[in-house]
Amino acid sequence: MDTASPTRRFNRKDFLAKLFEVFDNYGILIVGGFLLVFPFMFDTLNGSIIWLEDNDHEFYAEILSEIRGFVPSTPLMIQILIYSLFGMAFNILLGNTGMLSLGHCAFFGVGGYTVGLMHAWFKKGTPVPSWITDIFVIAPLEISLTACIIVSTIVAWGVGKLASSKRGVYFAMVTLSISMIFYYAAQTFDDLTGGTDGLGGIENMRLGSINLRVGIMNVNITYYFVYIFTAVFVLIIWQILRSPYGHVLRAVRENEDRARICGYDVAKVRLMAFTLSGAISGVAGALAIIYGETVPIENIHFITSGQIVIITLFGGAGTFMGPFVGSFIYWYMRQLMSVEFVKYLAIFQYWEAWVGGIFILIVLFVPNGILGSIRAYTLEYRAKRHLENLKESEGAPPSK
Amino acid sequence: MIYIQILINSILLGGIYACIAVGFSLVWGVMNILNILHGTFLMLGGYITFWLFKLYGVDPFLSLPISAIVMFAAGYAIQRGLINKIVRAPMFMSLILTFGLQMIVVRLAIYFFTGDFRTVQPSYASFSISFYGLIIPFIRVAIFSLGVILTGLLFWFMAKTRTGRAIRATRMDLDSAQLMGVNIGNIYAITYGLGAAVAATAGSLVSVGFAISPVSDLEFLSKAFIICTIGGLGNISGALAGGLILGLVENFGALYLGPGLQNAVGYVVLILVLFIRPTGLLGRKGFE
Repeated sequence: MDTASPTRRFNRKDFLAKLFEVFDNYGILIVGGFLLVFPFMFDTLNGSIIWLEDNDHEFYAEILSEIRGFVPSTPLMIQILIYSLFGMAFNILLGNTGMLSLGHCAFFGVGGYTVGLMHAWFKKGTPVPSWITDIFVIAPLEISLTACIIVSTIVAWGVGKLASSKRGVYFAMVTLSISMIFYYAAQTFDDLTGGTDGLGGIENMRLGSINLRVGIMNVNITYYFVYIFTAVFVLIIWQILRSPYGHVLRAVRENEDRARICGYDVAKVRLMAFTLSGAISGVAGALAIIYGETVPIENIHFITSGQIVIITLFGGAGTFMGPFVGSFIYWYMRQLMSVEFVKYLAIFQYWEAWVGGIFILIVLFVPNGILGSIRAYTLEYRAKRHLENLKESEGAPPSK
Repeated sequence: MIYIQILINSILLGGIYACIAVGFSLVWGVMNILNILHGTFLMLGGYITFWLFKLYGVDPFLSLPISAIVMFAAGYAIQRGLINKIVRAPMFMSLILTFGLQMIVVRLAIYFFTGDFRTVQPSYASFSISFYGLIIPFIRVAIFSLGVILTGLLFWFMAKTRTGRAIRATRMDLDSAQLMGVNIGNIYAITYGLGAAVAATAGSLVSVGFAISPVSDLEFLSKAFIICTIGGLGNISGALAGGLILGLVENFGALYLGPGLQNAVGYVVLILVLFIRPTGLLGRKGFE
């Protein structure tokens, strides 16, 4: 090294490593800030297209509408937000505790069904206790959401109690089997859940306390509703994973026996991680039905589990922002292929085949996921650099 | 009388179930990968039989070797070209890889074959033997016996031939097998190809007595999954036992709980088996 203090010199790789570290630790704030203003930006784009059309700038209006096709719309962002929350909840298990659950669709579906059924129950005119109606005005979505959190926590605890004593692939099999039992139950008791048609007729959901209508008619309001819920729960997950408790989770992932010898009750840690993950997945499931105003039975089918495993691994299991990146890319590409690309090539209507091809490329070339690979690269680079520095300081003559 | 009829149906169903599961169990046991493509091989085998019958009038039972050979080649190529690259990685890597392949193949199948349910209808499809009020359809008996014969053939292959011994050795101890001069990459590819071939043959059998469509592959996959967990991994007699048990449980479940919960019963049994005997009913740790 030619300079006396190599640490002070600007280094591009060092800078990238630092940037990644900042993004993984505080990226949630950056992305959250961007998402907070997203609907305004989308509305501005829409508004300017209309303005250009009104003022006879057909050419510019056309260019802008072409661009708009490649900008994720607000409904798509709602989907992305929900699946980010779901993926982050899933990542508590897969990335941090090292348990691959193939049955998270059970909680996603149960959360959705709880809110849907509660709403149907209120709509049927079942008398709500008077102390609740004193506080809330009508169709109290708050009660449904609270009930959803409680129910999905209980279900997750029960499933976790059963499954978390198993390890590795047996854990995956037990969770998968339980979720399939839930699926067949939802399919069979169709007078309650709507069966394969899905549970419909849950329109006109209102936040009772401020009389705010959410649903497919009010995109922006729903967006902010979902945004606030997602933000609160993501912050909770963020705090938990940064806390000493999060370190215990990772200790269990790395070496279970050693964690046990250090005095942690491993079975309890695994059960708590599973319950936490399942409960937050339930919230994500509840949010997913609020925009769609219906509970499709696919929410509780294995396909949803597969989707979330792939979203998480795509972004990078174990990195905090991984599920968000995975969810964004997954849904955005899906939208692009099935709406935009299909205009030019009909073969793009089979977007699932293209997504499948991308999975294969990921597994072969970036097996740690996108953020996971960047992290592995930066860690390796920094380790190498640290060693170089050590060698240099050893080789240099001792300073006075 | 209805119980005996259900018993016969269950046993006839169990034979084909065993045949569906045995390839999956082999691949899982030897390579420790969950092969999502298994159901797809089954579906493709069924389509080979269907198109050969429809376009050229080939008897469905004569097209079994064709679908086996074609799918063996496909499986060998997939394992050699793709899965061998990540076979030592954590299990979910192969899960995603095969899932990606499954998505591609199924969409292609929908594109070329359309999503309709198809079934092969040879002239002898409706023959049946009946005595004392029991009805035994001829074609189910044929499928059952062919399924059992196929499973037996695989058993013989694994027990007696040199390649079979190499596969078993690889399963028991990878490093020692490698030191004894077993070409692991080739053995893995042969195992995968065998799994695919057996699956395709089972698919050909299924296409005769039952119906197939490009999207029915996940259903076959879940059956295979349940059966080989119940019976024990990588264990051919276990697959046979698991198939019979699943056939019985499903048919009696349908009788008592209705057709909706029939499939759920299989999963309940799976959970019970995992808690009572995690290695499966006939499974022994580390041995074929």
